[in-house]
Amino acid sequence: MIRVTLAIAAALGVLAALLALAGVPLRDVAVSFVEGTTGWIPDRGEFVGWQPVSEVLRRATPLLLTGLAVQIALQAGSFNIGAEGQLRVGGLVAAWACLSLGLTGPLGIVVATILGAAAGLLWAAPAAWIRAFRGGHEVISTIMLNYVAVFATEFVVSGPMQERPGGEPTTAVIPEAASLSAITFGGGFVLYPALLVGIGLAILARLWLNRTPPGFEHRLVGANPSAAAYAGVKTKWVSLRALLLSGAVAGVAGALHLLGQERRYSIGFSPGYGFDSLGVALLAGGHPLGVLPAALLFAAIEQGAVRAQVAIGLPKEISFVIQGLLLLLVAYVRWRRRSTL
Amino acid sequence: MTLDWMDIGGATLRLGGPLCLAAMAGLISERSGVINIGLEGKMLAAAAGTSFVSAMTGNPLLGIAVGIASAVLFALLHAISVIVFRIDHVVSGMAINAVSFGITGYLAKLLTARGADQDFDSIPQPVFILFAIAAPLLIAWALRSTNWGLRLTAVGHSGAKSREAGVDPVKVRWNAQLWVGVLAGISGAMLVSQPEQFGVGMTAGRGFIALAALIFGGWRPIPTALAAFSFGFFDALQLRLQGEKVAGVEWPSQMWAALPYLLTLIALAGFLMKSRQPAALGKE
Repeated sequence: MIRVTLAIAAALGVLAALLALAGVPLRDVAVSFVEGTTGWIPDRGEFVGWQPVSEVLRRATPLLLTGLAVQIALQAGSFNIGAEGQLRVGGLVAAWACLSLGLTGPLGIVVATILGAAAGLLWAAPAAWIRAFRGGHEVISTIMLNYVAVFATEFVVSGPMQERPGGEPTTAVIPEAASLSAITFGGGFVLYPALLVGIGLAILARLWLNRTPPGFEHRLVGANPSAAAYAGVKTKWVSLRALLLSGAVAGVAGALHLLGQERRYSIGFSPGYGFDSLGVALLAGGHPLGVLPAALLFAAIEQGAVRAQVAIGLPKEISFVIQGLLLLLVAYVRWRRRSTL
Repeated sequence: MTLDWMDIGGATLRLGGPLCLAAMAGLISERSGVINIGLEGKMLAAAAGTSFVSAMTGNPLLGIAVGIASAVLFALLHAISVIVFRIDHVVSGMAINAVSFGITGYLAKLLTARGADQDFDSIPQPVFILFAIAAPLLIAWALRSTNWGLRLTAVGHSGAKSREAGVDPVKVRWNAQLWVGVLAGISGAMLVSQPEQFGVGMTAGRGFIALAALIFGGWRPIPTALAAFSFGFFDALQLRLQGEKVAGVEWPSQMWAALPYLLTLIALAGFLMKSRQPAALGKE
């Protein structure tokens, strides 16, 4: 924990040095990040409302779920770089369920989410099978599946499921009755129910990993596959199951992102949540609940960067630099391995 | 429907060239046992460096030099991460892609905001094309017939055993990453020499297609180069087939775009050939 905090501080330090070298006023950057993420204006000592915090929570929701997905695979020693693709097919299938099957109400939301999970699971299946039984690296296969998902969903929304032929490449908007609407509290605080689902799933994952025999096998395969095999664990099936489960959770992320936020599937459905999720999962360390603070941190960085772009004209691409540096420095302190050379 | 095959041939070389050079960068990295999914970021850095400096100084050769140097810097960062800090190769690659996308996008937006002229006059395309064709031939020869190549392959099989045989795997891998930077740098410079202006995220997944070509080619230079140029050919064909009918059916452009990735998945599943992945890949 202390080492991770130090790594975060070091990443911010490197970034500050880079920005200072580029002649950017650091104080203004810091002020816009604080304003943009907390609603607190330091210069005037004034609180402008809950909107910035709600916005951070909104951005954190898909990151939390996809981060959890990646972490589940990571616990069994697999890298699921495919969360982006699984999220996209999960979202598209949920849209299809609402528009074509006419699902509405709480039951409809549950069914659409389950269908999204199934889609994510199926999208992870080739990678899971190739990893377990054909010896191909899951990183490569999941990257390939991401691109196939991007093109396949783009085809579907610019053809079979397009809202208007010749129009924008997007599906129609799902009806209000089918969506998982955000709850607005006093003071403009908005809560996204999907965030609670994500926290619930993280708790479930924690219990499953730590309190059940299959969860123990899962972690054992991640910690030491040869010891697991020696102890009689069917390691191939465990790693197959790990990637399938991970795909299902990423599919849930996509379904809930569609039902709760986007309400239609368009090409811009995901600005790269699946890619950010790897950083979220690694930052979270070995604990499923760790994805909550990690997702909040990533969301705050993105939200702060957007604010800094509007306020002081600092290009928001700076958020990728922070996230990349974070990933590297946290890996330097936490994810090093023992030397074999 | 008639296709202008000369035109498609030319486009294949132009589109396949950057893929081939990047795939060669990936090949050298992976043959030394270092997974490299940061090709995308290195190409992007090189494209940005080449474009910005060429436009600023009006000297495309200086631009290319700075472009290659930027890619080499990221390659050395990868080396520090995986050789010195011993972190997972995949994590380092992803981080490099993110940082490179961020920095190049940041700089491009700043230049636009300042109203800087970002067009430049590139050196002629055929120079790059010759390079892209020569590189795999040279690498194929070097892997078979030079000490450098034999050491690279040995280290990729097992660093520990190479050390027993008196070859320092750490040195070989550092050296390999240097070449990765140079080749990925030329690839990025070639990519930006066609529009003659940098665009944010302009690599658009080409670093990953190059990786796909590498796997498709079974980590061997000539088959990898052929795979890269075939992917370039599909890309060229797809651009010209948009809205056209083939065998009476109008095929969606996304199908052509997804083809390299689908073929790679099938190759990964081992349906096309035996996997020849370097034994120490990502493990040491």
